[in-house]
Amino acid sequence: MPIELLPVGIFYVGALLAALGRDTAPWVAVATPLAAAAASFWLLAPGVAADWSVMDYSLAAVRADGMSLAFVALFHVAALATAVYALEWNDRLQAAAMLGYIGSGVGAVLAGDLVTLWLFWEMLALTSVLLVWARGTAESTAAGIRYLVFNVLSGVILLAGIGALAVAGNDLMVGPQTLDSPGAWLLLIAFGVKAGFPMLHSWIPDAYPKSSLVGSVILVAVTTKVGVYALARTFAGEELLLAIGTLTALWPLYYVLVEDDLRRVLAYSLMVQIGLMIAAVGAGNAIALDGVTLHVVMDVLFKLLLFMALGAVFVRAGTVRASELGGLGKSMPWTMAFVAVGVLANAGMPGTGAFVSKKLLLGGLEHAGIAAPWYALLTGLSAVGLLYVGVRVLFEAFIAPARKPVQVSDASWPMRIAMGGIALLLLATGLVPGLTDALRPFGSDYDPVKATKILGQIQLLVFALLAYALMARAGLSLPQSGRRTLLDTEWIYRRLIPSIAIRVADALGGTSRALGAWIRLYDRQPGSGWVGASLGRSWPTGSMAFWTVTLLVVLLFAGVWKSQT
Amino acid sequence: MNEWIRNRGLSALIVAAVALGAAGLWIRPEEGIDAMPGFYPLTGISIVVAVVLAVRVLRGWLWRPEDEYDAD
Repeated sequence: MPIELLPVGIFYVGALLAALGRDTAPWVAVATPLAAAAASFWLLAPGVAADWSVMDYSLAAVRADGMSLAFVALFHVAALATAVYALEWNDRLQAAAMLGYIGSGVGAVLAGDLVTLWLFWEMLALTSVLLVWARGTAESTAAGIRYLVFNVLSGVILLAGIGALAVAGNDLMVGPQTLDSPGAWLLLIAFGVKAGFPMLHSWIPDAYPKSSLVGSVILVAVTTKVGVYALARTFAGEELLLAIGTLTALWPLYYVLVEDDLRRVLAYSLMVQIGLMIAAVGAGNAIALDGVTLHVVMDVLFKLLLFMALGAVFVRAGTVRASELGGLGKSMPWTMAFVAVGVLANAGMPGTGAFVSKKLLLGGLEHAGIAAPWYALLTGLSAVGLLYVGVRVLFEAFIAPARKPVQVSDASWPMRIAMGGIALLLLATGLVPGLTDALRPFGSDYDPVKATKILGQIQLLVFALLAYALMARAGLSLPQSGRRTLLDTEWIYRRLIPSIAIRVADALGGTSRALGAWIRLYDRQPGSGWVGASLGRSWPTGSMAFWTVTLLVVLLFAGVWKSQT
Repeated sequence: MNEWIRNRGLSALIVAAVALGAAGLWIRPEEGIDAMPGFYPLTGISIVVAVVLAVRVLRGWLWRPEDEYDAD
């Protein structure tokens, strides 16, 4: 293994130590990202490359550049913040899985060729599912299996795509592809599963809210972001992604505004932001790709913050259902303040780094020449974001009157430190000029921090809130949330396909029983033939083996005969 | 805070909207899609109205009992 992969190795060793340590797992989880960050700082820089040999093949293990290093830095920060957040729980499985997961993410974004990417792609799936299963409920076990099916399937499709590209004599480096071959299409589908394309996304709202506390926080940081990273590396400028990205952003709007489980609201809201990023990848110019890189960072930060806050609510109040919460602002003022920062960032409010990243994304889309209504639609998603996080999470959980008496304390100090650190990062990147420049690896000179853009974004949010307030006063507010299941595409494989399979099996079983009954009836008739007597009874295994060998011998002779004629 | 939002929130929003709308008449981009007067206010209002109405129309279509998938 090349020395440049040392940060990945440190994460894997840290995972091993956390798994084996008796009481040290929380501290190992904190120390590992720090050690890995030191190694990354020492070994990695734009232009660093390293190869490794696996079974006589030379693979490009590391190809570092500005974009991959931004993701590497982000994953380190996410790991450290999550480890601090979880400091009070001595859970070896969660700590070990988290470290292994981050290490796999770092390996994936550093990968220079598709085979190395695939190796870490599969490691991501295997390590992250442990974070879902770590919750230890029957519900999380089932959700973890579905999560694993999707993510392993993504890896299988990726491998098939790599094989198809190799057979066609294509270069297997992680680089631009065009959708003119089956291999490229398979890559697009594999990356799409990971990024959460519509219809391929259901594992996100299914597994994230059901995973462990650490899992629900850290899962937002890596899996889908590696999918976006892979898309940006290979399909930047592919116009199909403009449409897919828009659909990805629009698909979850119904769910984020109606869903009762607030962690599920955030999981769906992840798709809205990812949709914007995918659309910007489709635009493919330097402004858009700078926006994708920066927005991945900002999205991870504010989603971490919001998931952490809801984790604290879950620990203290025992639920994250909107219909059961309310009035938490008085007893959890710190957490409410952090949620407020997350709400502002999610809505792209000036003063947060997310304003810069969203304006870069939209600037890239504008430069790509999309139509004005389309641009307005994607711009307006910030306003909807204000509704689904501002109204649903901040208002319903913290400000609205309590649905039932609440006597809880605020988040613990480790939780507050982790959330406070992330909130500071979000505000600092928005308030300190030039702080986000290092996260713009494509070198675009677009300046989104202008008075006109700032005023425009504030207008957008204030008018959106005013419109909603007037609608609510007129009795047209969002429907009351409550305990229910909202059907999504998961219904297809959790209900439709099983019900069809059961009907087919019943039909076949009925046919088989009818045939068996007829044969047995025939068998009982005086003078019945040997066929009825043979088929009408159950056969021993030895008989099956005999007939299988017989058929194979017949086939062998048939083959010999055909070859001689 | 809840009382303040109920009593003063709407008034504050109207004042803010009027002030921002007036400022937007002078401060807006010279070129680009968003140079159109009222681009941001109109976008904010129209998307919120459209999405909330759509959600209200669609509610119930995709609702099932909480135990819909419990047999899994």
